[in-house]
Amino acid sequence: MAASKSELLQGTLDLLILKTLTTGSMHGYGIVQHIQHRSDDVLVVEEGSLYPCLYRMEEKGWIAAEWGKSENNRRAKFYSLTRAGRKQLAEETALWERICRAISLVLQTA
Amino acid sequence: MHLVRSLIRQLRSFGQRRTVKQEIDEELSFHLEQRMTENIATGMPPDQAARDARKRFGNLQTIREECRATRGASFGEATWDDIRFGLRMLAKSPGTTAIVALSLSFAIAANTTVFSFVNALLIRPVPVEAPEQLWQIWRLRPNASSEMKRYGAWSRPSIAHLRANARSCAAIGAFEAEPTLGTWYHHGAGESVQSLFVSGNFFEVCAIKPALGRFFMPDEDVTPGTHPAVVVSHAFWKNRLGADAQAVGSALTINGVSLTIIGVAPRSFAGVVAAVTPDLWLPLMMAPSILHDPEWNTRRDTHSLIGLGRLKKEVSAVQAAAELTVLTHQFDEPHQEDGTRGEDAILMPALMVPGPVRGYIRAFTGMLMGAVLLVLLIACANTANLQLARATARQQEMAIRSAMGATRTRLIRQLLTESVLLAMLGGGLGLLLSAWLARLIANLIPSNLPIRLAVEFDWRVLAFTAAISLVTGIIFGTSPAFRCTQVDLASTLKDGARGVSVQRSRLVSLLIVGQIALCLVLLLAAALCGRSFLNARSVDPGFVSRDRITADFNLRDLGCTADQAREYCARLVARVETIPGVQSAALTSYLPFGLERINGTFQLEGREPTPGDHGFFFEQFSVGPGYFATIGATLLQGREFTKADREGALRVAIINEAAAKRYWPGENPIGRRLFNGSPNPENALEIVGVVETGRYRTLGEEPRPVFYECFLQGSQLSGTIVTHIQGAPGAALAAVRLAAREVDARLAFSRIAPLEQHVALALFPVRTSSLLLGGLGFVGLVLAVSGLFGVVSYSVAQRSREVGIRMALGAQRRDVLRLLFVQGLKLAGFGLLLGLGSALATTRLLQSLLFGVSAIDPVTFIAVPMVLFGIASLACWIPARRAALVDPMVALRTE
Repeated sequence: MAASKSELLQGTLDLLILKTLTTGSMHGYGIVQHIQHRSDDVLVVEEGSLYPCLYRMEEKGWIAAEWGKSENNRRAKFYSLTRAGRKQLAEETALWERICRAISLVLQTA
Repeated sequence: MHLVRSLIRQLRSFGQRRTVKQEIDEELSFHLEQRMTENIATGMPPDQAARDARKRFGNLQTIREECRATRGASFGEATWDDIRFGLRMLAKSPGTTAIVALSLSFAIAANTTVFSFVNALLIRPVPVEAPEQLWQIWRLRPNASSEMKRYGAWSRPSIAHLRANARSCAAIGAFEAEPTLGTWYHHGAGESVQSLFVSGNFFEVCAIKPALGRFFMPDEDVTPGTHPAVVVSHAFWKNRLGADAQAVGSALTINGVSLTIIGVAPRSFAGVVAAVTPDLWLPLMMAPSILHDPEWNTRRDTHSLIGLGRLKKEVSAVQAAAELTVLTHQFDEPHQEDGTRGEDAILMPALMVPGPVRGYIRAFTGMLMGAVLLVLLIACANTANLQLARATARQQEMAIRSAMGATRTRLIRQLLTESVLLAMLGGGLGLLLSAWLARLIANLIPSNLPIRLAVEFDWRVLAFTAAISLVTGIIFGTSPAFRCTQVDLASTLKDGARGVSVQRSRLVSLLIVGQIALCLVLLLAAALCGRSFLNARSVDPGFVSRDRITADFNLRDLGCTADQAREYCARLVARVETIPGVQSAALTSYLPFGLERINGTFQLEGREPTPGDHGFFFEQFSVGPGYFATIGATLLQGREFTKADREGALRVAIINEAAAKRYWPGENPIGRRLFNGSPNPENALEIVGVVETGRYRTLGEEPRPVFYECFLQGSQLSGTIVTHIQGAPGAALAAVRLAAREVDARLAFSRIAPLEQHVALALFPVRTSSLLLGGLGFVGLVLAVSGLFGVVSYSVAQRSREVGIRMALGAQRRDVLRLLFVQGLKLAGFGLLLGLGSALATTRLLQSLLFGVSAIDPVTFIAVPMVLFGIASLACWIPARRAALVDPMVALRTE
């Protein structure tokens, strides 16, 4: 079950992370919390799958990473959006909206 | 762009591999802790909190691997992990690892050895400054019939002419093409040294700096005999002079001439031509004194110098050659007998192997290199087979790893790392083996030949070995790695391994048969040569080598007259005979089986030579009184020479039985006369004795007619004293050494050694061939046996499920054993038959080396294949037995 869920969210996970980071730099745990909270616990991500995704995005240059201190004074890695990341976010958001609109168009004509 | 960025990241992380791994772990554990803390805050008990955190996280190991792979932190880390794991795997099956490493080491050793020779001869540049600007100057004969005859050396006056008049060259030096063996007198004994005569500016042209002292100045090489200076080689200074810091300025006596050491050559410089590594360099102008030849420098008809030059700036080699050609014609013209055009000059790059010979050497070493590369490929094929056998057994392990998240690339990389490790192990062993082998080959050359092949293992050789090991590992590792990781997860975890294509196994079988055949041929040849060697050693050479010592002497250096020389000789013999332990001593002009040989044609009294011959042929020796008794040859008729046969008395001669039978058949030769020259009374010698026929030049020769004249009736200035001793040779050797000095302080014996050592030279060809062939045969044996072992192991691994089923259905262990065993034995059998056939056809090529044993000697041709068959059977039996011992249930289940 977990496998199928992560497949579904594969492409959209990038989008969600990018959007999350517009609110400010965060560590991985914070990102997960944010996504779950904002989606009213609908989108429950397998938490570990976040990290390979984050590394992939860092590789592509959409986000930048930095070590810092967390709320409870622990060492954690914080991610922030880069300019290329912002551009990517805009593109993916536009794409997502087009898909959504297309699907809802199909569902409407019933 | 991404590629560049990721590459940079990979490189960076290569250096900080531990940090990245730690970082990832830290980040992930932070996440888990945060989740756990939150869980505990909501009231969960701690262990449940931890479990829940893990569950929500997912598979930690897989995610960690994925992260590592994405971050590119893997390369250095993963390789290190692979190496560690690979070493563990190799250690788990030490037997197979040892066999593989050993067979690889032999193949790699062969390659490294050949390469080291190729390096020393063809690749390594001449150890001088700016070697690419150094040129060798040779004579060119444009109309020569063969490549070798096209190029010639210079006479001393001709090259002096070139040196004086050449405008295109900044400097022209010269060196002798061949070194001269001289005698170095020290501590009352003479030792042979190799010396090379060079022009005064030789070292300047080479542009090297001395390790100690200085080199020759140009003005030291102008007038004969005025500057007795010598430069010693580094090896000579280190080994014979004991690396004495005070050596420069000390005296060295060569051939009776006292020289001063002015410098020591640097360690890297042993000469400018391969295989010529002189101990000393002497100026050309010293040659007349040292060689006792006053006209040495002015003779026009001896050509022995090679020119060495550096060109002026902006002058090309072609232009320089043109100018030198003109000068050569200029020089030759006044002395040409007919109006033919003289020879030209040519410039060639100064390489360790001179131009004319280079082509042959390249072809020969190319062939050798090809042969040993073939051997390496065969070893690779064998090893691939063995590895396939092991890989088949590890498929399940690979399947499990794959299920746990390892990518195929990763698995292949790990298996390749194992193969490369194995190859590197073989390479390391091979390097050691090769070092030993190179030294052995260099030592095979008898010390009285002026060739010294010093083969160093410089960085090129090491790099070659490393590269070849790496490539070998990749070659034999690729196929097993790919096959092994070709896992269809579900089916492999359940089913057994499938067979490999029929084509491939046929190829492998053919290869094994070929290897066994080749191995048999080599071993048969080696056995034949070995038997010849043993036979040769027991041949009766016509004298006794045991308990005899020989010592060379040379009176030329004393500058005495013929009468004085004869007196010295007599006194030498008398003095040596007074040494305790000496039974008798006698003189001879030279010993049989050496490098010297003298023969001639004589006229016989009352006999006409056959039409077409100039006379009657005899090998010639000049021996002193009591020679035959001393050396243990049997006198058949008449008498030996005595002290009464001196200068002025009747000239006498002794012949051997072969001469008597050939030239005076059925008659008594005693009293007959022969003539050394035209049939006049002053050339007459009377035969006074007949001695048994021995062997004189080679051990396998036909009986030759030999003529002995009396040493004291001739004008010999050099020769050998043969001493018959009793008891241990050690004390006698030392005493003989001192004896010469007591006759004259300037005199010293050289090459004082037991006679047995001298005779060993005659055995050299057959000994070397049997060693070489035996060595090759042994290598072939190791390869063939390991190949056979591999094939049987592999087929066993493939068929273990079948074995299990058979045994479960009621087959006895020995039936199973027989099944697997016979398969391998069939291959061995074919190989032996093929090898036997080939050997019968080809061993006749060795006929000239064989002695006392026929090329198709039945005993050898039966014994050797039987031994080989026994070894091959063992190689088949061991893996078959291992398979047959397996519990059928285990066999059925594990596959």
